[in-house]
Amino acid sequence: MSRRRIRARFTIAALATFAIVVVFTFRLVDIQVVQAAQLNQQSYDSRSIEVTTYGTRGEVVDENGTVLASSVDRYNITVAPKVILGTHGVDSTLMKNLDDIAAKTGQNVQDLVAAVTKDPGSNFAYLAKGVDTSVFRAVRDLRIAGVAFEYAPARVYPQGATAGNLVGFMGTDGPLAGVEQMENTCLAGTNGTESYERSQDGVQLPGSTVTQKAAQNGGTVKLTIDADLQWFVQQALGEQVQAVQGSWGTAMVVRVKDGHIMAAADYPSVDPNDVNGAPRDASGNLILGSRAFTNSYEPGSVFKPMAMAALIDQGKATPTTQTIAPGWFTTPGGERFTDAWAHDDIRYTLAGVLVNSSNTGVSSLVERVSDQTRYQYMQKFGIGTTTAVHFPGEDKGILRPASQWDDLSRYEIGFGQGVTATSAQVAGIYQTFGNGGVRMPLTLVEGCEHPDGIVTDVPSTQGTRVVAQKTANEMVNILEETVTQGSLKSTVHIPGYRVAAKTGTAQVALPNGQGYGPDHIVSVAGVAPADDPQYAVVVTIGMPHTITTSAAAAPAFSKVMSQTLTTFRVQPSTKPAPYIPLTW
Amino acid sequence: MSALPLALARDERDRPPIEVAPTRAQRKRRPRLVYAIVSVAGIAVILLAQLLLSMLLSQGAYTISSLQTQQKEYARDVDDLTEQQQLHSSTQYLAASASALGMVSNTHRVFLRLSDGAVLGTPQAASASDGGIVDPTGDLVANAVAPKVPASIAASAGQDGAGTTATGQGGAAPSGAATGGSTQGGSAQGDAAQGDSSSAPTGPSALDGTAGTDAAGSATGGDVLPSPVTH
Repeated sequence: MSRRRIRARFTIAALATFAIVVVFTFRLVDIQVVQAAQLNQQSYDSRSIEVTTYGTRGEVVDENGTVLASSVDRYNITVAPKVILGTHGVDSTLMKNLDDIAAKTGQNVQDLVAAVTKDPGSNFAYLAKGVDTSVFRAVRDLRIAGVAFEYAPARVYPQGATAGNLVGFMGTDGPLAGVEQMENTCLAGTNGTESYERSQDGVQLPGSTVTQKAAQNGGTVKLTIDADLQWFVQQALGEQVQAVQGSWGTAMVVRVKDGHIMAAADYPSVDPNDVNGAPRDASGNLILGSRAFTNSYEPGSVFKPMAMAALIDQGKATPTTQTIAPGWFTTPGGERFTDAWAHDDIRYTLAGVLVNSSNTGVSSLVERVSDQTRYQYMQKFGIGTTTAVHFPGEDKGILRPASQWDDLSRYEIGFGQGVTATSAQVAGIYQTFGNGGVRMPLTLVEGCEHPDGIVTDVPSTQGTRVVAQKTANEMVNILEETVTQGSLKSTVHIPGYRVAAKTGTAQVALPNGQGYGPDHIVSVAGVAPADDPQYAVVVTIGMPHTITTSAAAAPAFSKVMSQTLTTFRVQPSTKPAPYIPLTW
Repeated sequence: MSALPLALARDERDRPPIEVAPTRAQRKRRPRLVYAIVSVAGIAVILLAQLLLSMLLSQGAYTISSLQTQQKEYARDVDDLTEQQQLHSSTQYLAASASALGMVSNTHRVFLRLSDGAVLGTPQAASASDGGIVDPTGDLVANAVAPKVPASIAASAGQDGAGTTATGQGGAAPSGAATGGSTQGGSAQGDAAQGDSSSAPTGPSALDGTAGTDAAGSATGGDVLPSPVTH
């Protein structure tokens, strides 16, 4: 071998080695530097596991903290049919397992078999949805391969239909009614994500937890409602609606000093735990909301005090102003209407007109102020605009501007026909009288307390003066005569307490617009104690059959008012009722 | 130059074998073996400690993991029990339980005026025939999640009703039902069972038991229950 050859071989070997080193170096740099981040991520992904952390939806509580809506742990039981069926299909072992699961969940085992065999090749199917913790634990402890669990928090309404009309409920994709919908931004929690690395046997490596996004719990919504009173009012209302075979009823209790709604009942009303089983109205639709806010009606005589208050407040009349209520009242345009009972001319005072609820008497007085002034007073009383509650779907009622009042409506609006209002709006009128003429914004939500203690959604406490204190007090005194001398003498009696109230029996317009039909909406609205009004109560019953006058609603009014006075420990009246002459 | 090695060779043959005497420096260098042993042992100890530490750490990870699981279970317990408590305190459940015990709401309201001590209204005993508020109309405020009134509550009410006709045997049956039912849980059941058991074994305690539970029951049951009952 020549020396040259040896050198050539050496050179080739050196070059080859160098080439290999270059290749390796290149690869090393590629892996360690160029692709480093990506490879690290891949490696991390295969070790780490990402989990959703749940932000709990907040609670809805009443004034005393009684829980009306809360989030609870529920689980879905899932299965991988491919795994559980394996190569053997539905054999005796699988049947035994499914039997065991069915025994825990209370399902029919055939349903489980169907769920498993529906798509045998799939990796995912539901066996049961929304099982509670005890069932989840029982099934988990069976330790069946291929069966897994999914956390699926759900909503429970521990008080059922008590305030169910107000609280509302959740659909599969979000809130569908009531406070749940109104206060969704407060209640909703936001889910977060967390990841941690785990060893081969699934144990979390210490210190490896990384929170990508922290879960945020929702806030707690506090209502002004008293759940016990709400239940009583719903029960009393329901019993009375059934007794008089009415179609529906609403009842409201409002604290006069701040407009807080202590109870707002509807009958029938939804149990938010069982929305599909909710009662249905005449046309077969589910009753899901609160009629007290969402349905306006012609309120009838409970509107009369508002018209008379405008007169007194303007100085155009006093409670003892003398007038004559004719048997028939004829408008300038020739329209004629009467009172609920036939009579000749009666010499009533203004108080007598209200206590006896004379349509013709009211009509003989209302012209003392202009239509525009009356319209403005009604607006100030809150008619024609939604209440400050802004309940989902709330109705603002129909109040036409004075310029559109025709020959008949200028009179009938005085006694609550040709104009509509919700029960909530009517409650607002009596709250105003009870509060010395200052209307407070009706309040259902006291506030939203976030997990960090910050309270938002605090309602306005700004009142509006509607009539002078003197006017309001005189009106309460007049309305007290309805209970002591008038139509409520025998039905509304709360020993020791002076009650001021007004009845209303409104005719219901025919759907075709051709006048009024045989149906009535009856109501009683008032405040107590009359010497120092604390609470306003309005009870309304739609289409009663056995009694078609306001006497149908009076017993419920009496019960609700006495329960309210008892619940809130209102002191009995100390001063005797003043005497106001009703005739002259 | 070559004479010296020859002379040395000669000397080696004559003299006994000699060894190289370690210099002082060499002698000093010898204990290095100890150091080697110490450092190797040190490394071994460190490795062992590290091994133990990592074992402990991973053991800690398992402990944390199991404690977290336990905590999750307890959180579930709390949630579950809170839910049960809320459902059991629902007005519908309380009203139904009160009805089952034979209670009726008094519709005759009477008030006491504190300023002069006057009694306002006419005091009158409640009776089931008064009508209104649950009984006999029934609960009109539905609650699909309200728990069922346990049999023991209804049973203890049944005992009061049966008290007028039944002898000692009448008391024995419901108390059996109450203890049987109490395994399903519920503090109200416990109270009912207690009332029954205290009334059953001996005469004197039976009197106490009935006086404490229900005024109407003691009026009729007082004559019946003291008769000896054996279980």
